[in-house]
Amino acid sequence: MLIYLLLLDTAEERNKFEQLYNRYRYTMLYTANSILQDQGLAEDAVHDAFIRIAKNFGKIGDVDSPHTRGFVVVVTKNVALTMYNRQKGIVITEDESAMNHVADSNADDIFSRISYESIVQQIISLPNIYKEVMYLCLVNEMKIKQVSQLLHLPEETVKKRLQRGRKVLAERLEKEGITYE
Amino acid sequence: MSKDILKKAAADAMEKELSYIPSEKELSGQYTFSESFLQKMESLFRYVDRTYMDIRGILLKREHILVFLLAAFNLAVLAVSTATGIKWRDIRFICSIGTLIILSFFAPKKDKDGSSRQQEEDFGGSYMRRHAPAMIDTSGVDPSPYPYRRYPRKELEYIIPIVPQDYSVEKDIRSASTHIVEFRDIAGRSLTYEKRLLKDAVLVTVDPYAVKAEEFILNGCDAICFEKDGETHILWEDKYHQLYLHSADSKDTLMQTAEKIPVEFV
Repeated sequence: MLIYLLLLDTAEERNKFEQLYNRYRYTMLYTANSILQDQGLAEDAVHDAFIRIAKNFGKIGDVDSPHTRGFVVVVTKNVALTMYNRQKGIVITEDESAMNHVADSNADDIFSRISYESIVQQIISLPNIYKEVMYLCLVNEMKIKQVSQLLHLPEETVKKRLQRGRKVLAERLEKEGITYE
Repeated sequence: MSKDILKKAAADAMEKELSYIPSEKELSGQYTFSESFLQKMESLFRYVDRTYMDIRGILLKREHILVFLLAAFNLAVLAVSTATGIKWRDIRFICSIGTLIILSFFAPKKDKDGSSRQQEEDFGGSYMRRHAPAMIDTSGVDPSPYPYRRYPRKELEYIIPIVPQDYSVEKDIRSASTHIVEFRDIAGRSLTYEKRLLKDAVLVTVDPYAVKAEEFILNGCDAICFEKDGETHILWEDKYHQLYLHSADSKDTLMQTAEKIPVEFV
Protein backbone atom coordinates (compact mmCIF):
# COMPACT_ATOMS: atom_id res chain seq x y z
CA MET A 1 0.00 0.00 0.00
CA LEU A 2 1.29 3.42 -0.88
CA ILE A 3 -0.35 5.14 2.03
CA TYR A 4 -0.11 4.02 5.59
CA LEU A 5 -0.44 5.67 8.91
CA LEU A 6 2.52 6.00 11.17
CA LEU A 7 0.85 5.43 14.46
CA LEU A 8 1.89 5.33 18.03
CA ASP A 9 -1.65 5.77 19.18
CA THR A 10 -1.61 5.66 22.91
CA ALA A 11 0.49 7.26 25.60
CA GLU A 12 1.47 3.72 26.52
CA GLU A 13 2.99 3.15 23.09
CA ARG A 14 4.73 6.47 23.08
CA ASN A 15 6.21 5.78 26.49
CA LYS A 16 7.29 2.37 25.29
CA PHE A 17 9.02 3.94 22.31
CA GLU A 18 10.82 6.28 24.66
CA GLN A 19 11.80 3.34 26.89
CA LEU A 20 13.12 1.52 23.87
CA TYR A 21 15.24 4.51 22.98
CA ASN A 22 16.68 4.82 26.47
CA ARG A 23 17.22 1.08 26.78
CA TYR A 24 18.94 0.28 23.48
CA ARG A 25 20.40 3.32 21.78
CA TYR A 26 23.99 2.59 22.81
CA THR A 27 23.62 -1.05 21.81
CA MET A 28 22.31 0.14 18.47
CA LEU A 29 25.12 2.64 18.08
CA TYR A 30 27.69 -0.05 18.91
CA THR A 31 26.11 -2.41 16.37
CA ALA A 32 26.01 0.21 13.61
CA ASN A 33 29.48 1.50 14.43
CA SER A 34 31.00 -1.96 14.26
CA ILE A 35 29.82 -2.13 10.64
CA LEU A 36 30.27 1.44 9.48
CA GLN A 37 33.36 2.35 11.54
CA ASP A 38 32.20 5.94 11.68
CA GLN A 39 30.18 7.34 14.54
CA GLY A 40 28.45 9.99 12.45
CA LEU A 41 27.18 7.42 9.99
CA ALA A 42 26.37 5.03 12.82
CA GLU A 43 24.19 7.70 14.43
CA ASP A 44 22.36 8.15 11.13
CA ALA A 45 21.82 4.40 11.02
CA VAL A 46 20.46 4.38 14.58
CA HIS A 47 18.07 7.20 13.71
CA ASP A 48 16.85 5.39 10.59
CA ALA A 49 16.48 2.19 12.59
CA PHE A 50 14.27 3.99 15.12
CA ILE A 51 12.07 5.26 12.29
CA ARG A 52 11.69 1.73 10.97
CA ILE A 53 10.95 0.43 14.45
CA ALA A 54 8.31 3.13 14.95
CA LYS A 55 6.64 2.07 11.74
CA ASN A 56 6.59 -1.55 12.90
CA PHE A 57 6.00 -0.90 16.55
CA GLY A 58 3.27 -3.52 16.87
CA LYS A 59 5.89 -6.26 16.95
CA ILE A 60 7.59 -4.92 20.06
CA GLY A 61 6.65 -6.89 23.14
CA ASP A 62 8.37 -6.49 26.46
CA VAL A 63 11.07 -3.81 26.08
CA ASP A 64 13.52 -5.71 28.28
CA SER A 65 13.10 -9.11 26.65
CA PRO A 66 15.98 -10.67 24.67
CA HIS A 67 13.64 -10.92 21.68
CA THR A 68 13.21 -7.15 21.64
CA ARG A 69 16.95 -6.66 22.00
CA GLY A 70 17.48 -9.04 19.09
CA PHE A 71 14.84 -7.24 17.06
CA VAL A 72 16.45 -3.81 17.45
CA VAL A 73 19.92 -5.21 16.76
CA VAL A 74 18.72 -6.98 13.61
CA VAL A 75 17.03 -3.82 12.34
CA THR A 76 20.07 -1.66 13.13
CA LYS A 77 22.43 -4.14 11.51
CA ASN A 78 20.27 -4.20 8.41
CA VAL A 79 20.17 -0.41 8.15
CA ALA A 80 23.92 -0.14 8.75
CA LEU A 81 24.73 -2.82 6.18
CA THR A 82 22.48 -1.16 3.62
CA MET A 83 24.31 2.13 4.23
CA TYR A 84 27.68 0.42 4.07
CA ASN A 85 26.85 -1.33 0.80
CA ARG A 86 25.48 1.86 -0.72
CA GLN A 87 28.65 3.70 0.28
CA LYS A 88 30.92 1.08 -1.20
CA GLY A 89 28.76 0.69 -4.28
CA ILE A 90 27.99 -2.92 -3.42
CA VAL A 91 24.80 -4.36 -4.83
CA ILE A 92 23.45 -7.40 -3.04
CA THR A 93 22.15 -9.97 -5.48
CA GLU A 94 20.43 -13.10 -4.38
CA ASP A 95 22.98 -15.87 -4.23
CA GLU A 96 21.63 -18.42 -6.68
CA SER A 97 24.61 -20.65 -6.03
CA ALA A 98 23.42 -21.14 -2.51
CA MET A 99 20.48 -22.99 -3.98
CA ASN A 100 22.64 -25.09 -6.27
CA HIS A 101 24.92 -26.23 -3.50
CA VAL A 102 22.06 -27.61 -1.55
CA ALA A 103 21.80 -31.30 -1.74
CA ASP A 104 18.64 -32.67 -3.17
CA SER A 105 17.71 -34.24 0.10
CA ASN A 106 14.92 -32.61 2.00
CA ALA A 107 16.21 -30.06 4.54
CA ASP A 108 13.73 -31.27 7.11
CA ASP A 109 15.22 -34.77 7.00
CA ILE A 110 18.69 -33.46 7.78
CA PHE A 111 17.50 -31.28 10.63
CA SER A 112 15.80 -34.22 12.18
CA ARG A 113 19.07 -36.12 12.53
CA ILE A 114 21.53 -33.67 13.98
CA SER A 115 22.29 -32.32 17.42
CA TYR A 116 20.63 -29.20 18.73
CA GLU A 117 23.85 -27.38 19.66
CA SER A 118 25.17 -27.79 16.15
CA ILE A 119 22.07 -26.18 14.74
CA VAL A 120 22.55 -23.17 17.02
CA GLN A 121 26.21 -22.82 16.00
CA GLN A 122 25.41 -23.12 12.33
CA ILE A 123 22.63 -20.56 12.54
CA ILE A 124 25.13 -18.12 14.05
CA SER A 125 27.54 -18.71 11.19
CA LEU A 126 24.91 -18.19 8.48
CA PRO A 127 25.30 -15.18 6.16
CA ASN A 128 23.61 -12.17 7.66
CA ILE A 129 21.01 -11.84 4.91
CA TYR A 130 19.59 -15.25 5.76
CA LYS A 131 20.05 -14.96 9.48
CA GLU A 132 18.19 -11.69 9.88
CA VAL A 133 15.03 -12.91 8.15
CA MET A 134 15.23 -16.16 10.12
CA TYR A 135 15.42 -14.27 13.39
CA LEU A 136 12.58 -11.94 12.49
CA CYS A 137 10.29 -14.66 11.13
CA LEU A 138 11.03 -17.36 13.65
CA VAL A 139 11.98 -15.56 16.86
CA ASN A 140 9.95 -12.39 16.53
CA GLU A 141 7.15 -14.27 14.77
CA MET A 142 6.84 -11.71 12.02
CA LYS A 143 5.01 -12.40 8.80
CA ILE A 144 6.86 -12.26 5.47
CA LYS A 145 5.02 -9.05 4.61
CA GLN A 146 6.00 -7.41 7.91
CA VAL A 147 9.65 -8.37 7.45
CA SER A 148 9.63 -7.00 3.94
CA GLN A 149 8.28 -3.68 5.22
CA LEU A 150 10.77 -3.57 8.06
CA LEU A 151 13.82 -4.39 5.96
CA HIS A 152 12.61 -2.53 2.86
CA LEU A 153 12.81 -5.69 0.76
CA PRO A 154 10.31 -7.23 -1.67
CA GLU A 155 8.19 -9.97 -0.11
CA GLU A 156 9.50 -12.47 -2.62
CA THR A 157 13.09 -11.74 -1.58
CA VAL A 158 12.26 -12.28 2.08
CA LYS A 159 10.53 -15.53 1.25
CA LYS A 160 13.48 -16.74 -0.81
CA ARG A 161 15.98 -15.74 1.84
CA LEU A 162 14.07 -17.67 4.44
CA GLN A 163 13.91 -20.77 2.27
CA ARG A 164 17.54 -20.50 1.23
CA GLY A 165 18.64 -19.86 4.77
CA ARG A 166 17.07 -23.12 5.84
CA LYS A 167 18.57 -24.98 2.92
CA VAL A 168 22.05 -23.51 3.37
CA LEU A 169 21.82 -24.39 7.03
CA ALA A 170 20.86 -27.96 6.20
CA GLU A 171 23.64 -28.26 3.66
CA ARG A 172 26.28 -26.92 6.01
CA LEU A 173 25.29 -29.21 8.79
CA GLU A 174 25.53 -32.16 6.48
CA LYS A 175 28.91 -31.05 5.10
CA GLU A 176 30.35 -30.60 8.58
CA GLY A 177 29.86 -34.27 9.12
CA ILE A 178 28.07 -33.60 12.32
CA THR A 179 27.37 -36.64 14.36
CA TYR A 180 23.81 -37.49 13.91
CA GLU A 181 21.73 -38.34 16.89
CA MET B 1 13.11 -31.16 12.38
CA SER B 2 10.00 -29.46 13.49
CA LYS B 3 9.51 -25.74 13.13
CA ASP B 4 9.46 -25.44 16.91
CA ILE B 5 13.00 -26.77 17.26
CA LEU B 6 14.28 -24.48 14.52
CA LYS B 7 12.51 -21.58 16.20
CA LYS B 8 14.08 -22.40 19.55
CA ALA B 9 17.51 -22.85 17.96
CA ALA B 10 17.16 -19.48 16.19
CA ALA B 11 16.19 -17.81 19.47
CA ASP B 12 19.18 -19.35 21.24
CA ALA B 13 21.49 -18.40 18.37
CA MET B 14 20.26 -14.83 18.51
CA GLU B 15 20.74 -14.67 22.27
CA LYS B 16 24.24 -16.11 21.96
CA GLU B 17 25.14 -13.55 19.30
CA LEU B 18 23.79 -10.74 21.41
CA SER B 19 25.87 -11.87 24.38
CA TYR B 20 28.95 -10.57 22.54
CA ILE B 21 27.56 -7.05 22.64
CA PRO B 22 28.59 -5.22 25.82
CA SER B 23 25.85 -4.05 28.15
CA GLU B 24 24.08 -0.75 27.55
CA LYS B 25 25.62 0.72 30.69
CA GLU B 26 29.11 -0.31 29.63
CA LEU B 27 28.60 1.15 26.17
CA SER B 28 27.27 4.42 27.54
CA GLY B 29 30.72 5.03 28.98
CA GLN B 30 32.33 4.50 25.59
CA TYR B 31 30.11 6.62 23.38
CA THR B 32 28.68 10.09 23.53
CA PHE B 33 25.94 10.94 21.09
CA SER B 34 26.45 14.06 19.04
CA GLU B 35 24.16 17.02 19.46
CA SER B 36 22.84 16.66 15.93
CA PHE B 37 21.78 13.09 16.71
CA LEU B 38 20.00 14.14 19.90
CA GLN B 39 18.29 16.89 17.97
CA LYS B 40 17.17 14.47 15.26
CA MET B 41 15.84 12.05 17.84
CA GLU B 42 13.98 14.84 19.54
CA SER B 43 12.34 15.67 16.22
CA LEU B 44 11.50 12.01 15.77
CA PHE B 45 9.77 11.89 19.14
CA ARG B 46 7.64 14.82 18.09
CA TYR B 47 7.11 13.23 14.68
CA VAL B 48 5.80 9.93 16.04
CA ASP B 49 3.60 11.84 18.40
CA ARG B 50 1.96 14.08 15.88
CA THR B 51 1.17 11.26 13.48
CA TYR B 52 2.02 11.97 9.93
CA MET B 53 1.23 10.02 6.85
CA ASP B 54 4.10 8.76 4.81
CA ILE B 55 3.39 8.67 1.09
CA ARG B 56 6.43 7.40 -0.71
CA GLY B 57 8.70 9.29 1.64
CA ILE B 58 6.67 12.52 1.55
CA LEU B 59 5.40 13.33 5.01
CA LEU B 60 1.99 14.90 5.26
CA LYS B 61 0.17 15.92 8.39
CA ARG B 62 -3.02 14.10 9.26
CA GLU B 63 -5.06 17.25 8.78
CA HIS B 64 -3.77 17.73 5.23
CA ILE B 65 -4.78 14.20 4.29
CA LEU B 66 -8.20 14.71 5.86
CA VAL B 67 -8.88 17.85 3.82
CA PHE B 68 -7.62 16.16 0.67
CA LEU B 69 -9.78 13.06 1.19
CA LEU B 70 -12.91 15.07 1.96
CA ALA B 71 -12.44 17.22 -1.11
CA ALA B 72 -11.67 14.22 -3.32
CA PHE B 73 -14.66 12.25 -2.01
CA ASN B 74 -17.15 15.07 -2.44
CA LEU B 75 -15.86 15.91 -5.91
CA ALA B 76 -16.07 12.27 -6.93
CA VAL B 77 -19.68 12.03 -5.68
CA LEU B 78 -20.57 15.20 -7.55
CA ALA B 79 -18.93 13.96 -10.75
CA VAL B 80 -20.64 10.57 -10.62
CA SER B 81 -24.02 12.03 -9.73
CA THR B 82 -23.84 14.62 -12.52
CA ALA B 83 -23.04 11.87 -14.98
CA THR B 84 -25.81 9.55 -13.75
CA GLY B 85 -28.43 12.20 -12.95
CA ILE B 86 -28.92 11.40 -9.27
CA LYS B 87 -31.16 13.82 -7.36
CA TRP B 88 -29.54 16.63 -5.34
CA ARG B 89 -31.13 15.33 -2.12
CA ASP B 90 -29.45 11.94 -2.58
CA ILE B 91 -26.12 13.57 -3.38
CA ARG B 92 -26.24 15.52 -0.12
CA PHE B 93 -27.09 12.35 1.77
CA ILE B 94 -24.18 10.41 0.25
CA CYS B 95 -21.76 13.30 0.86
CA SER B 96 -22.85 13.59 4.51
CA ILE B 97 -22.47 9.89 5.21
CA GLY B 98 -19.09 9.75 3.46
CA THR B 99 -17.85 12.83 5.31
CA LEU B 100 -18.91 11.35 8.64
CA ILE B 101 -17.09 8.09 7.91
CA ILE B 102 -13.89 9.90 6.91
CA LEU B 103 -14.08 12.18 9.95
CA SER B 104 -14.59 9.25 12.31
CA PHE B 105 -11.53 7.56 10.86
CA PHE B 106 -9.43 10.66 11.49
CA ALA B 107 -10.81 11.54 14.92
CA PRO B 108 -8.11 11.82 17.61
CA LYS B 109 -7.78 8.54 19.42
CA LYS B 110 -8.21 8.33 23.15
CA ASP B 111 -5.74 6.76 25.47
CA LYS B 112 -6.75 4.14 27.99
CA ASP B 113 -7.20 6.80 30.63
CA GLY B 114 -9.52 8.71 28.30
CA SER B 115 -7.12 11.52 27.54
CA SER B 116 -6.64 12.75 23.99
CA ARG B 117 -3.31 12.82 22.15
CA GLN B 118 -3.71 16.54 21.62
CA GLN B 119 -3.30 17.39 25.27
CA GLU B 120 -0.33 19.36 26.44
CA GLU B 121 1.24 16.56 28.45
CA ASP B 122 1.78 14.52 25.34
CA PHE B 123 4.70 12.32 24.60
CA GLY B 124 6.86 15.11 23.22
CA GLY B 125 6.01 17.46 26.04
CA SER B 126 6.41 14.93 28.79
CA TYR B 127 9.69 13.77 27.33
CA MET B 128 11.00 17.30 27.38
CA ARG B 129 9.74 17.86 30.86
CA ARG B 130 11.25 14.69 32.21
CA HIS B 131 14.68 15.29 30.73
CA ALA B 132 17.02 18.04 31.68
CA PRO B 133 18.76 20.13 29.06
CA ALA B 134 22.03 19.00 27.60
CA MET B 135 21.65 20.51 24.19
CA ILE B 136 20.40 23.82 22.88
CA ASP B 137 18.77 23.99 19.52
CA THR B 138 19.23 27.35 17.90
CA SER B 139 18.78 26.03 14.38
CA GLY B 140 15.38 27.62 14.02
CA VAL B 141 13.83 24.30 13.05
CA ASP B 142 10.60 23.86 14.96
CA PRO B 143 11.97 25.60 18.03
CA SER B 144 9.00 25.02 20.26
CA PRO B 145 9.59 22.11 22.63
CA TYR B 146 5.96 22.23 23.72
CA PRO B 147 4.01 21.95 20.47
CA TYR B 148 0.50 22.11 21.90
CA ARG B 149 0.94 24.88 24.40
CA ARG B 150 -0.74 28.25 23.97
CA TYR B 151 1.69 30.99 24.89
CA PRO B 152 0.71 34.18 26.71
CA ARG B 153 1.40 37.35 24.76
CA LYS B 154 4.35 39.16 26.27
CA GLU B 155 7.07 41.57 25.20
CA LEU B 156 10.56 40.79 26.44
CA GLU B 157 12.11 43.33 28.77
CA TYR B 158 15.87 43.57 28.48
CA ILE B 159 16.81 43.99 32.11
CA ILE B 160 19.99 42.59 33.60
CA PRO B 161 18.51 41.26 36.85
CA ILE B 162 21.75 40.73 38.75
CA VAL B 163 25.48 41.10 38.39
CA PRO B 164 26.97 38.15 40.28
CA GLN B 165 29.67 38.91 42.80
CA ASP B 166 33.16 39.28 41.23
CA TYR B 167 31.67 39.28 37.71
CA SER B 168 31.16 42.10 35.23
CA VAL B 169 29.04 42.24 32.08
CA GLU B 170 31.02 41.29 29.00
CA LYS B 171 28.32 40.83 26.33
CA ASP B 172 24.70 41.82 26.16
CA ILE B 173 22.93 40.16 23.21
CA ARG B 174 19.32 41.01 22.43
CA SER B 175 16.79 39.74 19.92
CA ALA B 176 12.99 39.93 19.74
CA SER B 177 12.49 37.00 22.06
CA THR B 178 15.88 36.38 23.66
CA HIS B 179 18.16 38.22 26.00
CA ILE B 180 21.60 36.74 26.65
CA VAL B 181 24.09 38.28 29.04
CA GLU B 182 27.61 36.98 29.42
CA PHE B 183 29.49 37.84 32.59
CA ARG B 184 33.20 37.36 33.19
CA ASP B 185 35.24 37.55 36.38
CA ILE B 186 38.87 38.68 36.79
CA ALA B 187 40.08 35.09 36.60
CA GLY B 188 38.49 34.81 33.14
CA ARG B 189 35.65 32.48 34.16
CA SER B 190 32.35 33.09 32.43
CA LEU B 191 28.75 32.94 33.57
CA THR B 192 25.89 33.13 31.09
CA TYR B 193 22.34 34.23 31.79
CA GLU B 194 19.69 33.63 29.13
CA LYS B 195 16.07 34.68 29.14
CA ARG B 196 13.67 33.67 26.39
CA LEU B 197 9.98 34.07 25.78
CA LEU B 198 8.38 30.64 26.14
CA LYS B 199 7.30 30.54 22.50
CA ASP B 200 10.99 30.47 21.59
CA ALA B 201 12.14 28.30 24.46
CA VAL B 202 15.20 26.25 23.58
CA LEU B 203 14.87 22.63 22.69
CA VAL B 204 16.36 20.56 25.47
CA THR B 205 17.16 16.93 25.96
CA VAL B 206 19.53 14.95 28.09
CA ASP B 207 21.45 11.75 27.99
CA PRO B 208 20.45 10.10 31.29
CA TYR B 209 23.47 7.81 31.18
CA ALA B 210 25.95 10.63 30.82
CA VAL B 211 24.32 13.34 32.90
CA LYS B 212 22.55 13.22 36.22
CA ALA B 213 19.83 15.82 36.27
CA GLU B 214 18.09 17.03 39.38
CA GLU B 215 14.62 18.52 39.33
CA PHE B 216 13.63 21.03 41.99
CA ILE B 217 11.55 24.13 42.65
CA LEU B 218 13.29 27.46 42.24
CA ASN B 219 11.40 30.57 43.40
CA GLY B 220 8.18 28.63 42.84
CA CYS B 221 9.13 27.48 39.32
CA ASP B 222 9.90 24.03 37.96
CA ALA B 223 13.67 23.88 37.55
CA ILE B 224 16.32 21.44 36.41
CA CYS B 225 19.98 21.41 37.35
CA PHE B 226 22.72 19.28 35.86
CA GLU B 227 26.46 19.29 35.42
CA LYS B 228 28.07 18.68 32.07
CA ASP B 229 31.57 19.26 30.68
CA GLY B 230 32.71 20.97 33.87
CA GLU B 231 29.82 23.44 33.87
CA THR B 232 26.75 23.67 36.03
CA HIS B 233 23.47 24.37 34.23
CA ILE B 234 20.20 25.54 35.76
CA LEU B 235 17.10 25.92 33.67
CA TRP B 236 13.72 27.10 34.92
CA GLU B 237 10.48 28.63 33.71
CA ASP B 238 8.10 31.25 35.00
CA LYS B 239 4.75 32.05 33.40
CA TYR B 240 6.25 33.87 30.41
CA HIS B 241 9.93 32.99 30.20
CA GLN B 242 12.47 30.27 30.07
CA LEU B 243 15.50 31.22 32.17
CA TYR B 244 18.86 29.58 31.85
CA LEU B 245 22.03 30.06 33.81
CA HIS B 246 25.29 28.21 33.29
CA SER B 247 28.84 28.62 34.47
CA ALA B 248 31.83 26.80 35.91
CA ASP B 249 30.66 27.82 39.41
CA SER B 250 29.65 25.12 41.82
CA LYS B 251 26.03 24.07 41.98
CA ASP B 252 25.45 25.83 45.31
CA THR B 253 26.98 29.11 44.13
CA LEU B 254 25.02 29.08 40.88
CA MET B 255 21.86 28.19 42.78
CA GLN B 256 22.32 31.23 45.02
CA THR B 257 22.71 33.40 41.92
CA ALA B 258 19.64 31.85 40.30
CA GLU B 259 17.54 32.50 43.41
CA LYS B 260 18.21 36.22 43.10
CA ILE B 261 16.74 36.39 39.60
CA PRO B 262 13.12 37.60 39.77
CA VAL B 263 10.38 35.52 38.14
CA GLU B 264 6.90 36.50 36.93
CA PHE B 265 3.67 34.69 37.70
CA VAL B 266 1.11 37.38 36.95
